[in-house]
Amino acid sequence: MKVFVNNKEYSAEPEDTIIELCDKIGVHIPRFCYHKHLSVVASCRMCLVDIEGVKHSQPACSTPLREDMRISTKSEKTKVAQKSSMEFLLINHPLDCPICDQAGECELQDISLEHGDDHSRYMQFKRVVIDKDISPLISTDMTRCIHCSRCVRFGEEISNVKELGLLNRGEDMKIDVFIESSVSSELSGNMIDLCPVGALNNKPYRYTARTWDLRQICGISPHDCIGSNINYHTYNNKIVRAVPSENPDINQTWLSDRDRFGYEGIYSEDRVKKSQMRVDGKLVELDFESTPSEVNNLINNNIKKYGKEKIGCLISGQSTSEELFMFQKIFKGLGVSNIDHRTKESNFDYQKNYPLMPSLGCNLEDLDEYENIILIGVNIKTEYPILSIRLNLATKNKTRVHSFNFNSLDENFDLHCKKIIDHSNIESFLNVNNIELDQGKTLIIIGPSVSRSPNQSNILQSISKFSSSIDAKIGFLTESCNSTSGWLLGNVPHRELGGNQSSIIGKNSYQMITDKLPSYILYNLEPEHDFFDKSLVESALESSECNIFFTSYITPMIEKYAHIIVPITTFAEADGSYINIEGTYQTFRPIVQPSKNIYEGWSILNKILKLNNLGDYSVANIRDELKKSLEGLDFNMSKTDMSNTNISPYIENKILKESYRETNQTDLIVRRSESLNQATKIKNKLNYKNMNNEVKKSYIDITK
Amino acid sequence: MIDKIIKLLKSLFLLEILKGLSITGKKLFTKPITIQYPEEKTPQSPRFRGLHALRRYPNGEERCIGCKLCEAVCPALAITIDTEMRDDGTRRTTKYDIDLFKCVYCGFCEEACPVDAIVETKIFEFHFESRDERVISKDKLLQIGDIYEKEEIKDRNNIN
Repeated sequence: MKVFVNNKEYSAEPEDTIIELCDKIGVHIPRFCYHKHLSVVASCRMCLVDIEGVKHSQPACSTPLREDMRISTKSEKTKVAQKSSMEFLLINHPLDCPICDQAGECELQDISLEHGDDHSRYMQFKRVVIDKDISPLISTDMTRCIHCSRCVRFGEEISNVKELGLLNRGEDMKIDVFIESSVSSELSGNMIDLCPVGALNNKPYRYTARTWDLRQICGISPHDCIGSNINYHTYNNKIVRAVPSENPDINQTWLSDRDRFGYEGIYSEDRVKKSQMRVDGKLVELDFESTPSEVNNLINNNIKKYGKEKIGCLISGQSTSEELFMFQKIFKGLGVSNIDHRTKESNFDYQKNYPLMPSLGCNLEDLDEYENIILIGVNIKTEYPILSIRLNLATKNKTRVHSFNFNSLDENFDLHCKKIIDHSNIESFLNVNNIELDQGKTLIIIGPSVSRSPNQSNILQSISKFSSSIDAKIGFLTESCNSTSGWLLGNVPHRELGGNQSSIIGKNSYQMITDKLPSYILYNLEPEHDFFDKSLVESALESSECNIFFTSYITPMIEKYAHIIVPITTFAEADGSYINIEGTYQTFRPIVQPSKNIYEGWSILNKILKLNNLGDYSVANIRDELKKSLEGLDFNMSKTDMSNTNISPYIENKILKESYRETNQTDLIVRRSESLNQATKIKNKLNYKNMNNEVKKSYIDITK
Repeated sequence: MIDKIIKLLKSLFLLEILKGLSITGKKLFTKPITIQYPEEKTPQSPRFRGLHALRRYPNGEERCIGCKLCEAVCPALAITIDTEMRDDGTRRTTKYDIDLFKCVYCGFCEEACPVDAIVETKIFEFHFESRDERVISKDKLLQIGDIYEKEEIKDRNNIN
C-alpha cells in the first residue's frame, strides 16, 4: 500500500495505524497515551495529524491507513492542533519540575518544549489531588497526572491485575486504587516506566539523583532464568535504579519488580569486606594479595589429607558462566569429581537421562503458538513474573493453560484448570482423561517445585511418559538464573564441560551433604537458604573439618563454620554472562566497581587455577573456550526422554513448605533487598485479608 | 629638511616634557580618583557577583530544593550536590559544596535557581589560610546567607 507522509512516498502495511507507520519510518509524532504494547484509547489528543481531504486533524494512534493517504505531521494545522492539546494538558500540571524525579526524561517536558507555547493563558487555580501511599515501590504525585491511563491499561491488559482505575469524570477525574487495596502485583514497577509524567515514580530512588547525572550500563537479570535485559543507572559508582532495556525476544519493554529492585541487595550491610581466616578458633583478616595462595594451599592440603573423593564442591546456579567454567576447571583439573550446582534438590536418580541442559523447549515469543500449556510445579506469577505477560497474551489468544502445583497459588492470567497435586499420585493423575486438552500442540513446563521435590525422579519419569503419550514437548523453568550453564559447563557430578559423560561419577549435592565429608567448598551459596534442608547442611558443616566459603555475604552459619572466607563480587561488579532458559547467551560488563578488597569471582578462581598450573585465562579467553565447547551441541528438546530412569520408591514427605518460594526469597541478593521485602510483607497482609478461611489455613502452613 | 629643523627645535626646548608636566600640573589641583583601600571603597553595582550564599525563607526554612540545576549549569563544575528525601517528604540537599578555586563567578547558578536560593553576594574580600578551606559547605553558605540577607533584599529591590 502506498501512503505519503510529509509529501514523501512510503509503502505501508494495510493493518497499521498512522503512528505505527511513522514509528517505523522514523517520523516523530508526539504522544502520551499511545504505547505500542497497550490498547489504543486516543485520549491525550497529542498525536493529532493533518490528513488531506479530512476537515479536522485526526489522532494518529487510532486512524488506520488507507491507499494514497496524504499525512502531514508538520503542517500549520497540525502544529496548531498540537499546541492547543498541549495547552489543555498543561492547565492542571504543576510547575514543580525542579523537584520532580521525572524531569530530564519527562515526555511532557520534552513535548511541551517542542510543541507547546512558552506561556500560559490560564490564570485560575490549578487542580490538586491528594496522594495515597499505594506501594512501597511506587511513589505518587497524582497532581501531576495527565490521565493518559497507561497505568490503568497496563493493569488490565498486561499484568492482568486490575489495581488502578480512573475514578470520576471531568475535572474530578483521578487515577486511584480501589477501596482499601494497594498496588502489589509482581510487575507493578512497569507503571513507573509507562507514566509519561512524574505522577508514578520509583520510590526507593526518590530524590537521590537527577536523570542527567546518571550513567547507564546494561546488565542481565540475575534473579530468574528468563534473562531480562536491564539498564542499570549509576550515580557516584552506586546503582540507584534499574529500568528495562528493550529486547523484543525476551522481556520486551517490561521488567519484573524483582529485577527492578533486586539490586538493593548488593548494598546490604552483611557484605564481606575482607577475606578472613580462622586462626585458633577466631576469624582474622587476611591480606588481599596472600588470599589466593592461602586458599590454594588449603584446597591442596585437604585433597592430600582426605583424598579427592572426600572433597565436596558446591556452587550456586546464580554464578556467572565464567565462574561456573573456572570452578569446574579447577576442581575437575585437581581430580575432584564431587561438583554440583543443584543444591536445592535432593533426589538425583534422574540425572543420567536428563537432557543436555534444561531448556524451555521453545522461544518465549512462540509460547502463544501452543494450544495447551501444562504447568507442573510452578507458580508463574511469583516465580517468573515476566513470563506471566507472555502467558497472559497467549491465553487471550487461544492457549489453554493448565496449572498443576503442590499448593494452591493464584496466577495472574486465566487458567483453564488449576489443580493441587500430591507427590505420590502424580503418575495416575497425569492422564489424558484428567486433563482437558485442546487439539494441537502441547507444551509441558516443569517448574522448580518439582526439582525441590524429594520424588523428583518419579515425577519427571511420569511427566516424560505422559508427554510421549500425548506427543507433547517438555520445557523446564530452572531454580537459578544460570542453571543452564551449570549443566552445560559440567558443574554436575556426572558430566564434563559440554555435556559429555564423566568417566568417574562423583557425589551429587545430596550425597555430599548427607555423607558428611571432611571438607566443603561453597561458592556463592548461603547455607541457611540455598539448600533443601537447613539442618542437614548445618550438621554437615559442623562435622566437617575445613569449610572454604567464596561468598559475597556473611551469614551466621558462614561465620560459625568457615575456615576461610573469600569475598567475591556480585553480578553487578564483575564481567559475566548468563545462558537463559531459551539458550540465549548474554554477556554483561561490570556495572559498578567493587570495593577494594573484594575479588572478581572469575579472577580469584583464575589465580587459583594458575597456582595449580592448570591454565591462565582472561574473560575473553573464557568466553572463547565456552563457545568452542558449546559448538555443535544439539539443543533440541524434543529428544527429552526420561522414562527409562531407574527410580527409588516414593518418599512420603511433607515438602509443601519448601516447595513454595516467595518472590523475594529466590536468591541471596533479592533476600537482602529492603524494598522488595517490604512490598512482599504488605502484599501478604493484603492477600491474607482477602482469603477465605480454608485457604488462610493452608497459607499459614506455606509461609511460616 | 624643514622637518628636521622643527624636530631639532622641539627637542632643544623640551616641548614634550612641558606638555607632560602641564597634565601633572592640572591634576595637582583636581580631586584625585585614587581611593584609600581598605579604608575607602569603590561603589559596587547591585548586580555584583561575589561570594556565594544560600538564602532562607522568612520563616527560617532553607530555600534550596536540591534540583541540581546550578550544578548542571555551572561551567566550571564547581558545585557538588547530594540530595535525599527529608523526613517531611521534601527534596533537600545533604551536601552543597562550592569549590571557590574552580568558580569563575559567572552567576549562572544564580540565574538557574528556580527558588532564588543560591545567590552571589557583594562580598569580594575573602581569603583562605589552607587549600582545604576553598570548598565551602552548605552550613557555611547558609550562614553567609543569614548575615547578608538584608543587603541581598536591598540589592534585589534596586535591580527591579
